[in-house]
Amino acid sequence: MTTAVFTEDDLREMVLRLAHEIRNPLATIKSAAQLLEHLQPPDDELADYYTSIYAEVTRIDSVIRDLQRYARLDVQTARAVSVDDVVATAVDGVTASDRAAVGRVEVVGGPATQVLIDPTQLEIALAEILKNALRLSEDAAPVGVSWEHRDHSLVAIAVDDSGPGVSDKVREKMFRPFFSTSTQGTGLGLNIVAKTCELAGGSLTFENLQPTGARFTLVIPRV
Amino acid sequence: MSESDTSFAATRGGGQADFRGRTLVVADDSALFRRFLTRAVSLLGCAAEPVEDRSALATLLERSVPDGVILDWNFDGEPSRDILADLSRRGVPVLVVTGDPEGLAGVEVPLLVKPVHLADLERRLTELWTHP
Repeated sequence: MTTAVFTEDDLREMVLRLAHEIRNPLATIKSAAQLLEHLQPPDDELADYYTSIYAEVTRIDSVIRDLQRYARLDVQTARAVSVDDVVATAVDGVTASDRAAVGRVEVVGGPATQVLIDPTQLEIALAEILKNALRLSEDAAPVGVSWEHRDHSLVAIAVDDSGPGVSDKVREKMFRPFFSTSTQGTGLGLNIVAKTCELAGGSLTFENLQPTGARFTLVIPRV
Repeated sequence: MSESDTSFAATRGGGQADFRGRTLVVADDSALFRRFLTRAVSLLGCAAEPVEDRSALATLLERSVPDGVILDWNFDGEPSRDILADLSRRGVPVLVVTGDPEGLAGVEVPLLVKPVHLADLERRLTELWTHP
């Protein structure tokens, strides 16, 4: 018989504490580098090094942030929220953090609908799917967001990209934690989105589009 | 182009806000971040008063009323809800600084997100003092 040394709550608390202890100094490093660059404008070679510092710090921060999000999944505060509002907030968040995304997200929309979910978690989930779609769509092609009622109690929020789609081999594993086809990130992103939908009583589905592209659909209970 | 070229544009070119004559308390328990913020707000013309813990903040507030406080959300080992409430009672504008805005879901406060860009700091302070 084995006895667990740590409960799930202990582990969750540990991850959240560790994430805080790592992200804070990272933010200080990045802030200080930016101040230094401002006070002493660098030549081209040094500017490249600054760029590398920002990129690497951002990469580590993204990994830790994903772990933090994962640890918070069980702590959801569901309330009725409008799909319009959540989509708008998610799109604003994505375009604010990536200027190249400005104008590339086409919100096609759908019927006025309220869903019962933790709004922050849904915003994070939608932003994650949007970022994936923007990354996969070639030549800065637009990404579409639309939603429709499904059955009498659900809403399906679809995000369409124009990328190459997903092979059967990748499709089998892509919702598993820590699986990634990218060298960046933790491979937790899609798993977090799927769990967010499931905890709300819905699901995350995927389909390849013809002749090209892919669609992720977040299916969530509506009010 | 490096990341800070555009984010610091406002402070390099015209349009820099002038916060001269204002006193801003920088309450953060990270010595390095406190040092960074103190320097950053002084670049915007503010007189900065760095404080490292709750007791130093309380002492300072007994002595004088600042024009604003930049308050670390996890200050001195615990969330700053009580400090926020106290400053609100005193009518002192507060900018909460955090590296984890998702952890503040549902808390309605003006936020400054770490890592802090000078241009963002300038914008947030302008908002804070224009629409307190």
